[in-house]
Amino acid sequence: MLKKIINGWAKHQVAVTLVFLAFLILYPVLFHSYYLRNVAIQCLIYSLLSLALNLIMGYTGIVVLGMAAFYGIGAYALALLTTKLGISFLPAVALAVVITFCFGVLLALPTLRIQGNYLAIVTLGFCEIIRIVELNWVSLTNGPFGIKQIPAPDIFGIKSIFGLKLSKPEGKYYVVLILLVITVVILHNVLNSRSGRAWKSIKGDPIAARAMGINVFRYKVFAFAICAAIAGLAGAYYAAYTGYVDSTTFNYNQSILILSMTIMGGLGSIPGSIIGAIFFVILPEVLRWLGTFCGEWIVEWRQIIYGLILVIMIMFKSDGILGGFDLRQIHLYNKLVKEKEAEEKQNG
Amino acid sequence: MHFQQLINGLAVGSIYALVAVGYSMVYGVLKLINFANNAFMVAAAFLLILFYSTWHLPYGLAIILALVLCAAGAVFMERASLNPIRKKNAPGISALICTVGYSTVITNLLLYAFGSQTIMVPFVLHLPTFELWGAVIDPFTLIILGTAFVLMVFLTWLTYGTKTGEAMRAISQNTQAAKLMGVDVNKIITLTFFIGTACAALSGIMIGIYYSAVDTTMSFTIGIKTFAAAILGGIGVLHGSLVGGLVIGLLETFVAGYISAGYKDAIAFIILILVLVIRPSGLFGKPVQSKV
Amino acid sequence: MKKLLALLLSAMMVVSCFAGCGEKPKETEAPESKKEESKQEGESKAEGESKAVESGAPAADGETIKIAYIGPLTGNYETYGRHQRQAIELAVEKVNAEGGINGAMVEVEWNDDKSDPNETTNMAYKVCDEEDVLTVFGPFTTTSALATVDIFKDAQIPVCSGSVSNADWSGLGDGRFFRGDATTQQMCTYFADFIIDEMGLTKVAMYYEQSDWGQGMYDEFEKAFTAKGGEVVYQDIFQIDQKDFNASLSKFKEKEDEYELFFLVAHLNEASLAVNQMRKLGIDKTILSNNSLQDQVYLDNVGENGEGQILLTYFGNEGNSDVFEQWKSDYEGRYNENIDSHAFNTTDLINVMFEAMKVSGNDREAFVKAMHEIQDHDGLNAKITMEENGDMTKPLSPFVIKDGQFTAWTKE
Repeated sequence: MLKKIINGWAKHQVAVTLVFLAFLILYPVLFHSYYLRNVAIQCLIYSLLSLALNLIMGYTGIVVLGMAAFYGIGAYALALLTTKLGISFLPAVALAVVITFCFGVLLALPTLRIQGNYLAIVTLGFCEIIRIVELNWVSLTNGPFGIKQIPAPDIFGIKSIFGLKLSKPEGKYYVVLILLVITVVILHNVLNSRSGRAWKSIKGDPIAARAMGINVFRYKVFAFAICAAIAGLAGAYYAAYTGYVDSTTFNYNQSILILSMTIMGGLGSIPGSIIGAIFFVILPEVLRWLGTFCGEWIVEWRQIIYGLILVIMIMFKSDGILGGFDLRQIHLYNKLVKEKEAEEKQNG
Repeated sequence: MHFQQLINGLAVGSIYALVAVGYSMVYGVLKLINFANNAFMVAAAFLLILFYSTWHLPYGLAIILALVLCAAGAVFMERASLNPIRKKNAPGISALICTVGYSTVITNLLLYAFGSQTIMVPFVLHLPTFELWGAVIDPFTLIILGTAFVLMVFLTWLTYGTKTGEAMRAISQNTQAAKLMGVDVNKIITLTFFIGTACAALSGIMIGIYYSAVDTTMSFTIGIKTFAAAILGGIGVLHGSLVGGLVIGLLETFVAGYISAGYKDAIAFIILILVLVIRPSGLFGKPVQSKV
Repeated sequence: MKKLLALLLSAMMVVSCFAGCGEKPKETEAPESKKEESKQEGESKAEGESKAVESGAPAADGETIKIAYIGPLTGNYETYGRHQRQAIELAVEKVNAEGGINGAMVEVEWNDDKSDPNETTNMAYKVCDEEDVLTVFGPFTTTSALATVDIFKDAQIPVCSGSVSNADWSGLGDGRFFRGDATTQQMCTYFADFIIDEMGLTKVAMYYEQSDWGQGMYDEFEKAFTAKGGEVVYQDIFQIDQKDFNASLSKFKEKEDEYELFFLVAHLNEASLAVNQMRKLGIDKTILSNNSLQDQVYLDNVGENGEGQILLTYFGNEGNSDVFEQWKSDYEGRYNENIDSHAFNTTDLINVMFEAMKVSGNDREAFVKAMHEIQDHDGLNAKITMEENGDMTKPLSPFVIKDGQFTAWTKE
């Protein structure tokens, strides 16, 4: 059944993508409530985070259990740049991304040579260290009070475009949608380029890759830094979106949530990450809805259900729903098979 | 005051040591970082409260039941999930993520069942504190330290002095070869989980008694640091874990007492990263070169 | 193939719709639509029992009055959320059994913010879309309240919190924010007065939680105390979820001769551990705390280590009114759990809200007005008046733990 859907999707990739994109663009027109728009924005933010983790886990094969660290660095960076230095939104986002990228490099250089299992724990430790610094370095981050009154997104001072106010949920939605689309396009191109192939070969067999002349270490660091940068982008937007950041958001549970999204959606699949993100953002809302007739206990089981999904996913399809499905390859393959069959029919 | 801080450090350190020893053994055999270990650790303390304070079972029985249940839980995890994953030859990281999932499930089940409050852990004896050179010492600290030591000796004997241990070591070196040599791999792995988790459960109960209280967040706050302790000492080397635990406890107390109470939790993670970058085999481990 | 695709896409769209969970997506407008209902003039001062309404048209028979609760029903603060929920349920059932508010039944919608301020924001958005909600009850923490100020302000919806202690919050809502507990400022002023005037002490050491709340308490107390001539001789912080306090406590012990009183600003979990460790280390100083420790669970956790500890809170175990005792036995009988100050504050606040509703019906602006006019309402333990800025004047008294009970403190 899944196969049929996948094959169908592979055949009509462009159409599917366009329809989905159209839906996303029309979403605020279709749904007017604050709440639904807020849910959509959450989906988009987590899509960015999930994509970031997918890059490092799904394509390069490095497990990161501390994504929340980069999410937080991006958020705090933007918060400080806009509130303390008065920098406008877009340049602040760019700077925040660069800063997070640098942190990614900084962490990667000494640690990426460490073996997989341990590296995962190191990233977790790093996440905790960052969280503790955010909480305690009061002169920089305001400590437990967090940073408040972060200005809403704007484009070099322009606060509304075509009558669309950027400080309202609709406006904010389009900002993050544009950021996501840009990221996906860039990622897609990078992944199909030399670097992408290098990463895939590293995941497949790092020793063979090195034997083929790929500077494994450098590519790993590069992937890690980009992953950090994308997470930083999500964080920067998040700070401008909510107007408020504090260290309690960027903790272990957050990292595990992002991990669950990426794994569930499918490692090595861009659409997979987005689907994973949407799934986990919507799940608590569905539970809440179910809770109204099945009883409150369902809501309280939210985290338990997260854990169960993770376990079940890992047990039955450890690379996620869309994991390992390279749609373009599948499409080409199917086409070739069909051509071959047609040929044989002719000859036979 | 300095001697008091030394005692404080050793007290916290002995807790890390106790948990790290069991953790290290499981990793040494299975090469698996078991996240669920910490969840079972805390679960044991909660179960003790359930059996003794709520159901009024005798104290000794309550402890034994708690240990057995937690160990059984780990065996379930192993049979139901980790075994199939191993059979599928999935990448090593799948098992780790699976234990992360189990850890989430167990911790939140406890949260659902017991609430988020800190609950008192009962103890049948009353051990008064005593003073030595101006520092107050809780005798239970010595009990914890002693247990960590005994556990270390026992587990080392188990691993190096028994046939079962030989089988464990064989599996850790080369599972396929061990199978060929007639080792019942599944049984040994199950046994390893059972023992390892029983140790964790025992640690959890002792920690609960020491602090007279337990809550669900203990699994994360204590758990991650014990991993750092095991790494510091050299994972798989049990006496290393003991030393590692004490060192981290001392350093943490030092930071809290003389530098800043806010940053004390960061020290364990900083050590973790430093050790893995500079000398991954830890203080007592043997450097391993992987050949291509 | 194409059909499957269409199915998939529509399924995706349908699922996204469900995210609204039964709420129909509406245009977000200010709740003007309800304005024409009530022509409330607002003279009716709510005194004790509600009087018959003069000119307004409060909720008619068959209608319901909806309160949206936003609070930590799961997560780290689940205990407090539960206590609030139980108190509200009890009060709502009681009022509904007595015929409701002028015939209209009160209904509560429960929104769990999972002890996470971002989730509170989500819930705030959700509630703001619901036009039939009269008022919000919550949020619980200062952080989540501050994070949602603008959302509620834009939607012009009244917000009543039983637990936010940040002094500035109530003034941020264009007059629509109300609270049912003392502010940090009020508490610290009271603490300072109590320590200097009643206890006659001037040197205090403070150990407080590293959070919005804890830091706020320290800042306000230090200000108030120093102004009265006192001195915070030494202070240190601890983290939320911290287990081992010995390192810091040893420092407190070393400086024991420099201070007379140990001021502990902590929640139940950390306090349970810290107080036990403190006594074990041999720190014998009297401990002073705030109402977050007023809970039987705390007493169970610290046992005799809690003897002599002084709490500044809203009620003790004796000398209470009959109304209070009745409420206490109802609550404890129904939930098999002891009351705490959150249940207490919540009950007082919800009853004040009911009184305001009797005058205003389902009209938000009228409700706000009526709330401001509450004076000398019969609370559980004392008369309650709502102030200009939405704060509630509520008496705090010192209680001491004696023989495992919270008894009234007396000057020896």
